[in-house]
Parts: sequence; C-alpha cells; structure tokens
Amino acid sequence: MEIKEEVIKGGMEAIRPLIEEGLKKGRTAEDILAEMIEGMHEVGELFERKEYYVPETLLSAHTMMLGLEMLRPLLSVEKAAERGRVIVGAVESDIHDIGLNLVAMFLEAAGFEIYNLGRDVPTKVFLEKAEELDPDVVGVSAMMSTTALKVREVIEGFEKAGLRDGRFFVVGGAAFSEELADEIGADAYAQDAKKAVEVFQELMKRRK
Amino acid sequence: MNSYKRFQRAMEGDTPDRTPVAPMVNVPHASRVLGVKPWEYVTDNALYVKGQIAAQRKYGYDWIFNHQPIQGITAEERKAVRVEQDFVVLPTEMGSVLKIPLDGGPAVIDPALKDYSMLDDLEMPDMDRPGRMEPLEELLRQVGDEVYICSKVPAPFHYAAEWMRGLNQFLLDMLVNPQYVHRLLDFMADVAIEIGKKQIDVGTHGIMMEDPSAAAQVISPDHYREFAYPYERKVARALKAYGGDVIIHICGDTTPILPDLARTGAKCLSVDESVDLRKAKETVGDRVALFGNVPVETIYRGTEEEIKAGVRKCIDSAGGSGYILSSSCGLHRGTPFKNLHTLVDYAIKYKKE
Ligand code: B12
Repeated sequence: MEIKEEVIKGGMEAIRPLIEEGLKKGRTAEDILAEMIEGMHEVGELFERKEYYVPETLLSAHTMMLGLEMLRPLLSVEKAAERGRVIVGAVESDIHDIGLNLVAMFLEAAGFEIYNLGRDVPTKVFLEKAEELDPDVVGVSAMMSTTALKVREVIEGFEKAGLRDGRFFVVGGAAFSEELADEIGADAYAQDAKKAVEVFQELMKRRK
Repeated sequence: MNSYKRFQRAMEGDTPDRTPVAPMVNVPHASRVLGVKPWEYVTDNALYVKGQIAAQRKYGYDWIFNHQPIQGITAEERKAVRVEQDFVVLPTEMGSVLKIPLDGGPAVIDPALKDYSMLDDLEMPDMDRPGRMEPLEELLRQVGDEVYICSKVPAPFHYAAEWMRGLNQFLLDMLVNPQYVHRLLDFMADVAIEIGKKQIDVGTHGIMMEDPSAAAQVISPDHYREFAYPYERKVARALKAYGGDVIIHICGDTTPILPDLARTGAKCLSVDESVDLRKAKETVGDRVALFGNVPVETIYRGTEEEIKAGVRKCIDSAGGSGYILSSSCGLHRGTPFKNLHTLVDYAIKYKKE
C-alpha cells in the first residue's frame, strides 16, 4: 500500500522507485495501476471534505501521472480503449481551468484515454479534435453563467456537423446545475472531479 | 457631501450621509457603456478614461475603479497590439501576453516566467514611461474633485500565479519549489509597491488589490497565510506608510482568514457573496471598513425585487459606519444596464432599518 500512500501524499520522487520495485517483484502493471487509482479515489474524498485544496490535489494527480507514464507501455492497449476515449476543454471565453485540469487528471488516473484541449476552446477546435479523435465522450467546462450558455453552441455545432450521434456530452463547472445541463442538451452533469469519474464510467457502461 | 468625501469617510470607518455605492465595473461593462469593443477600450488611454467617466455619469455611483493592473498603455505596448480575427493579442511590459476576446475582458495566454532561472532577470515595469500614468492623471483632472478614484495594484500572489507562471503550475510550484515561489512573490510585491507609490504620487485616492487566485476555493487558510498574506501585508503596509488607503479583495468564503486580512494594513476588505457581512462586521468591523457583496449573479439576472433585496440585505447587515456597498465581484459580462441602475438607485435611497 506504499504506492497508494505516495499518491495521496504527492510523493513525486518516491513513486517511480516504488513502482520499479513492485514490477521487479513480479506485480503486474494493472495491479499497480489499481493501487494508484485507489489512492486517487481517496484524494478525491479529501478534496471533497476540504482537507485537500487545489495544490495538494494537483500534486497527487501529478504523482499519479508520473507513475502512469512508467506503466503505460506495459498496460494492454485494449484496456484503455475499453475504458473510453475522452476530449475535454473549457468553452470559448472561459479561462477558468483549475477544475477542468483536475477533472482531466482524475479521468486519466481512472484509465481513460484523455485529450485535454485546455481553456478558452472555440467550438471549431472541439469539432476538429472530435473529427480527428472520434471520442466517446466530450467533456465541457464552463464556470460562468455567460459561458455556460455557450456550451449549447458547442453541442449544436456537433449536431450540425453530424458528429453528435454515438457520443456523450458531459458538462461541469460552477455555472452548471443538473437542470441547466439538461436544458442545454447535455447527456450528463458532474459537480466535481470524483463524481465526474463515476459519471464517465456509467456512460461507458451504457455504451456497451 | 460629494462622492469622494462620502467614500473617504466610509474608508476611515466613519458614517457618511448615506451608504457609498461602488460596483466593480470592469472592462466588459465600461466598454459597453461607451459602445466600443473591450480591446479598443483597454488599448487606448483616452477611450479608457472616457468610458470610465461615462459609466460613472450614467449610473451615478461614487467611485471610479481604475482597473488596469499596470496602468495606462504606453506607445510601445500599443504598437505591439495584434488584432486577429476573433481576438486581440496584447504583450505587456511584464513579459506576459494577454488575449482579449472581441466581446470579453483580457486574460493571460502566455505567462512570462517559463523557468525560475529567469527570476533574476525580471525587470520592474517602468512607471515613468509616457502613457503609464495618463489614465489616472486624466481621471483625477476631470472628476477627481468629486469622485473617489481607486487604482488597482497587482496583488503579488495573483500576478505571480496568473501572469508569471500560470495558476496551475504556480500551485504545484508552491509545494515543490517553495523557496523560488517566495522569491517570485517578493519580487511581485516590490512591483506592486512601485506601482502603488507612483499612483500615490500622482494623487490616487485609494488603491485596490484584488487577489482572486488566492481564493478560498483554491488554497487552504494555511497556504494563504504562508504564500499570500505576507506579501499582501508587505504591499499594504508599505503603501500605508507612503500615505495610501488600500482595499483588498479575495474571492470565496474568506471568513476564516478575515482576522489575518485585517492585519495586513489594508483599510478596507472586499468580500464576495460567500461571506456573511454581519459576521464579518462583528469579527473585523472595529479594525477595517467592509466592501461588498451583492451577488454578481443577482445583478446579472435577478429581478428588480431580487436586486433590491440584495441591496437591503447588505445595508442592513453592515451599513452605517465603515461600509461601502458593492457587487460581490467584477460584474458579469452582459449585465443589463437596467439592473445596475436598479442597484445604484436603490442603494442610494435605501436607509438601514
Ligand atoms: C479562481 C477563480 C478565477 C481565476 C481563474 C484562474 C484559472 N486559471 O482557472 C481568475 C482570477 C483568473 C478568474 C477570472 C474570472 N472570474 Co473567476 N473564479 C475563480 C473562483 C474563485 C474559483 C474557481 C476554482 O478554481 N475553483 C476550484 C475548482 C477545483 O473547482 P471548480 O472550478 O468548480 O471545478 C470542479 C467542478 O466544477 C467540476 N468541473 C469543472 N469543470 C468540469 C468539466 C466537466 C466536464 C465536469 C464533468 C466537471 C467539471 O469538477 C471540478 C473539480 O472538482 C470562482 C468561484 C467559484 N464559486 O467557483 C470564480 C468565478 C467562477 N469567477 C467568476 C468571474 C465572473 C470571473 C471573471 C469574469 C472576473 C471577475 N469578474 O471576477 C474572470 C473571467 C475570466 C474568464 N474570461 O473566464 C464568477 C462566475 C460567476 C458566474 N456565475 O458567471 C465566479 C463564480 C466568482 C463569482 N462569484 O463571481 N476567476
């Protein structure tokens, strides 16, 4: 459980040697990943309880990323594809990206294949990326009432381009509520990064 | 009593003839009052001054928030402005590059400090460049006798985070490279002091230091005390000693750190809607004036009655001595003129029960 502890503590230096040791002792990459995911899950809870704020949570997520980089070549490719391919970004004119990045990292930690387009992403770019990557889920963040309404434009853009079918839209950010998400035509809403992972996993199940 | 005097009184903790009203009118709103694009407004000192005064005249509130962090635009900066199809790019003297969407306010796209090895090469913005202090000088010349002119200085934490490193990177730096972070913060505090002193020399009435990256949703009270507070304090104390009156604004539920904020040397604290003004008054009201906090969301899309109720709640909780009524934060883009009129007109009339 040392690996899990390091994820929770954000032990960026300790994580790699520990993983190496684990692999040497014959643990599988999947097994180690599962332990790290457990750690991230706890981090999510600490964040929810306000024991962790953004810096601590980012540090844990980065620690997990370091571990993931080591494991990635050893993980079977089908597994990641099975979990789903995701693009996320903050809608045009919204430069809030703290929450977005946390969500992206939590999803990556949970094994999704994730492309984070960053903040202030025009609809055009969402469309280009969707065409290129054919994601299962598109996650859009909006933190302001003004930008939340713009998410509707993104979804409509996908409809017009014939790219909406077979894809889920998940929205989040301080401006959203379950109702507003519904109103603008999203498939799901999640209020925080931990919930987001559950929602995305749920959607992927629905897909199968 | 004119607006200047009224605001000034409240800053001192006294009771003016009525509650001073000072909504945080920002780039998107003031430029809309003038009917120009936000980027035109921030890259043209004359338009900027015109917009500020036009908005103050239109609504009749008591202050002007001179909100450009490194003040007026210089000829060099103006020459470097690049107009793209959907946005405008504005490199600043601090080395950070701003992007201004056609319909919104500026945001940093390219932070200046790629690497802490560049730290010792950072230069102070030159406040003596022609154009820098032009907006403040003009505002003071045209309306400074009647209206309270409050100028922004860049808060060390926020500008180190957003302008110099990018907030996400900066938050990691705090945990991984604290010694460099402290050096950067110390430098940014010196920048703020330099800018603030210049503003005081020119004659600004007040100074606003907004530190939204240190928001209570983002960092813990302990990290606030370690990384934001010491530098807010350094700036506020230095400017106080130089004769300046400082207001500090931080977003989120700052209730746990209000006692710290009250010790920074700031004269007045601005809080957002997560803070209970009545409680704030009880805890720090004897040391500092308070500023806030009609929710910007209500001003954006509330009904007339909801906006009035918001005003009543604020004045009933904190009105009287040492209180200035404001929006909880910068106004939302697209806030209807009518709503802001309702807020200002009603706040001017309403008397605490
Ligand atoms: C920090 C902050 C900033 C920073 C942002 C820095 C950055 N790089 O992100 C700065 C100072 C630059 C900033 C600027 C502005 N801000 Co601001 N900001 C905040 C603040 C205080 C905290 C946001 C935050 O990071 N929270 C912590 C993170 C971890 O939480 P989170 O973002 O909510 O994310 C979680 C969930 O929402 C969810 N989630 C988020 N995205 C997604 C996406 C998906 C797909 C899913 C499933 C879930 C999900 O999971 C996340 C993790 O758990 C909020 C206050 C608030 N109530 O949120 C205001 C706030 C969002 N800002 C606001 C405003 C208005 C602005 C400004 C216009 C300026 C102003 N007037 O103050 C500018 C706008 C700039 C722009 N064009 O976008 C308003 C928006 C109000 C509204 N309803 O419209 C808020 C609510 C403050 C307020 N009360 O007025 N801001």
